[in-house]
Amino acid sequence: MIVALNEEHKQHLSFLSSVSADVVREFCQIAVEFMKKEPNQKAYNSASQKLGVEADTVRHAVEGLIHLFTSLTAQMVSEQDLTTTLLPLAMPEEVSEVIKEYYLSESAEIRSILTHMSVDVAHYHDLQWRLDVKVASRTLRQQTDPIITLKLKTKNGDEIQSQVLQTDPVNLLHLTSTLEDALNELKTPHCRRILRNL
Amino acid sequence: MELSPEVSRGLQLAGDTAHIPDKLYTKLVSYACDVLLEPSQCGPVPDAGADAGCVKGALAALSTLFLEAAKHDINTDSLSHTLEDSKFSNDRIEIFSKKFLAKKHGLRALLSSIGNFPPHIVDVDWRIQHYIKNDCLNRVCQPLFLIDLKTEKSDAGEQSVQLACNQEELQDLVGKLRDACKTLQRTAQES
Repeated sequence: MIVALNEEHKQHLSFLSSVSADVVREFCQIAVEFMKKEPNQKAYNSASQKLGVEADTVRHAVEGLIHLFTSLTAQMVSEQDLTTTLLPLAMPEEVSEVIKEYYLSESAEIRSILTHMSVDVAHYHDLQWRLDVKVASRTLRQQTDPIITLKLKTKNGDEIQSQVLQTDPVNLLHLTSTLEDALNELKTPHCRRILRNL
Repeated sequence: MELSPEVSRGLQLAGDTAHIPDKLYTKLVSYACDVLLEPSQCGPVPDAGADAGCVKGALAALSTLFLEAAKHDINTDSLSHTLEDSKFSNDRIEIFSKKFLAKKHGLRALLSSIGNFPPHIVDVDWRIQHYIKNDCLNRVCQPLFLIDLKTEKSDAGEQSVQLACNQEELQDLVGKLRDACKTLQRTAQES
């Protein structure tokens, strides 16, 4: 699938045709870091000073690259279609090669960022467990209750939350087998058919 | 097992036929235990025309004895000794011991659930969704597991902990839980 670029987008990207491949490489790096972390105003300023152009031109070029990378990733554009997409920009070959190289190496990560950027709930991150035996409490002496303490870490965006839960052996076995059922359900013909065809 | 002077006094009242007649005693023993386990199921306190102050003192003492006996898991001999000290007849000791043995497990479970502990997982619900696309990506196409851990806490009642997993995350979670199960089974066999 080819991504059609609008006029404004083309204009923003056209700046990249006027600089060397090394500069484009640096711009791609800034764009990728922008998506992974946050905008780096310093990088814009130092690039604009070095190249002797306005900070806005640099910002437009970087944002143009980000828009290009996210649109390409959203449509899962192939390497061949990428060449066709970039054709109207009439970029020097080494510049489009750099863009292609960055897109191919970073698209998996951009996909995962975009997957989590939309409506998303807290995801499982890590689980630690500990086995204890409760031997007495203020209200009950002479007991031997095996307790499994679980520390469940969940991740929502960049924020990791952890909570401590506990369970007993019977419920632990039940929990494990129920979640195993969930995993095995994926192998059933119904699930496989839906996953394959949709 | 140590009982306070108030409880000892109450037990002496409960053992005394002059204050608490036999029929009322049987009812009071049942009530004293059931009110601990199923407070909502119990009706008004049986008094059968006896002195309200005596009934109140006897009932409080009997309930306390049920709890203390369960807390220390004492055997029937020690229980009989305690009751004999409060001048209980053999019949009355028999009635109390029978009720205690029948309900000991429930009382100990109740006492075990009191205290400060993290939410206890008692069940789990799951559903699988096929994540097709979102506003940023035209094609995601991954299975997504939504897991709902049901937990209980003594003072907070039931709560649930919700989390989502993709296939790899759920495999990791199940793998770790399986490890815990294996360790538990090995420990049980060794000890």
